[in-house]
Amino acid sequence: MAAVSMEEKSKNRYSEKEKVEIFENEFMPHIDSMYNFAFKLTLDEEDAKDLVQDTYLKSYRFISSFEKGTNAKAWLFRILKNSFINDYRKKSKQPAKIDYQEVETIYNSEDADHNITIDLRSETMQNRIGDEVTNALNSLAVDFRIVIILCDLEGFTYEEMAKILDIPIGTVRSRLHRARNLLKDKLKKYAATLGYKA
Amino acid sequence: MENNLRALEAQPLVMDCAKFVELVQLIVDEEATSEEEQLFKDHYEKCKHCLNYYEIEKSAVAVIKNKISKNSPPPELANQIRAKILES
Repeated sequence: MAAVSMEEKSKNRYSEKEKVEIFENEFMPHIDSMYNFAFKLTLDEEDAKDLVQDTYLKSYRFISSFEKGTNAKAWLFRILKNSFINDYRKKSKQPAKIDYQEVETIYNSEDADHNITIDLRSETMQNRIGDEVTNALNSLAVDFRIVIILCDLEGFTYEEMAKILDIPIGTVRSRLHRARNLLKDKLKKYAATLGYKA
Repeated sequence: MENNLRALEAQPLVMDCAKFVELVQLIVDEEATSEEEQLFKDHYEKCKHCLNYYEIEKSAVAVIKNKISKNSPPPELANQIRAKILES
C-alpha cells in the first residue's frame, strides 16, 4: 500500500469533477470494509450505518486534505475511528477505557505467554470453536477489538495502524499482542465448557 | 582481560524463549526484519518447545483471521450516501 498521508492540511484544490472521481474511485470501493469496521465498533446496525454515512460526508467535506492516489482506506478508517470516539463512544454502553498500565506490561514471562495460547490446529477444534471467535471478539474492550480488526481482518501494517490510531508502533504491537491473548483466553475457556482441553 | 573479551565474542548470541515469544508475533504478522527472522530461525531450530509454540500461535491467528464473520452494509447505503453528498 502507498504511504498514508494523514496530515490535517488543505492543500489540494480539486475541481468538482475531480472530487466526485476521487470519491467514487478511491473512497466508495471501501464501503464494505468501512461498514464492517463500524458494525464491529458499535455492534448496532443503525449506528453502523450512521457512522459510515458520517464518515463519508466528512471525507467529502475534507477531500482537499486527501492526496489523490495515496492510501484512501487508511485515511477513511482514521476518520471513522475518530468519529466513533468523538460521537458514538460517549452514548454507547461500551466498557470503560481500558487500563493502559496493564497493556504496557504485556510480555510478562515466557511461561505466561506459552500458557495463554490455544491449540486450534485440528479441524475439529476449528469447527467447534470457530463460530465463537466473533462473539469473543465482540466481548473485548473496544481498543482491543479495533487492533484485531485492523490487523487480522483488514490487513493493515503496524505502521498504518499507528497512523490510523495516533499511537506509536510499539503500542500497536503490544496492544495487538494483548488483544490476541485476551481473545485466545476466551476461546480457551469456551473450549473448556465444551469439554476440550485446548 | 583480553582473553575474557575474546571468550565473550566467541560465544554465540543466545536468544532466550521470552524474546522468541516477541518475535513470533512479528513473524506471524510479517513485520520482522531479516535480522529478526534469522534470530527466530536460529532459536527454533534448537528449541522444540518454542517451535511448538510458534506452530500453535500461527494456527490460532489463522483461525482468528478466517473465522471472524464480516457484516455487510445494506445494499441501499451507498446510494443514500451519494444522495446526501449531492444535497450538501
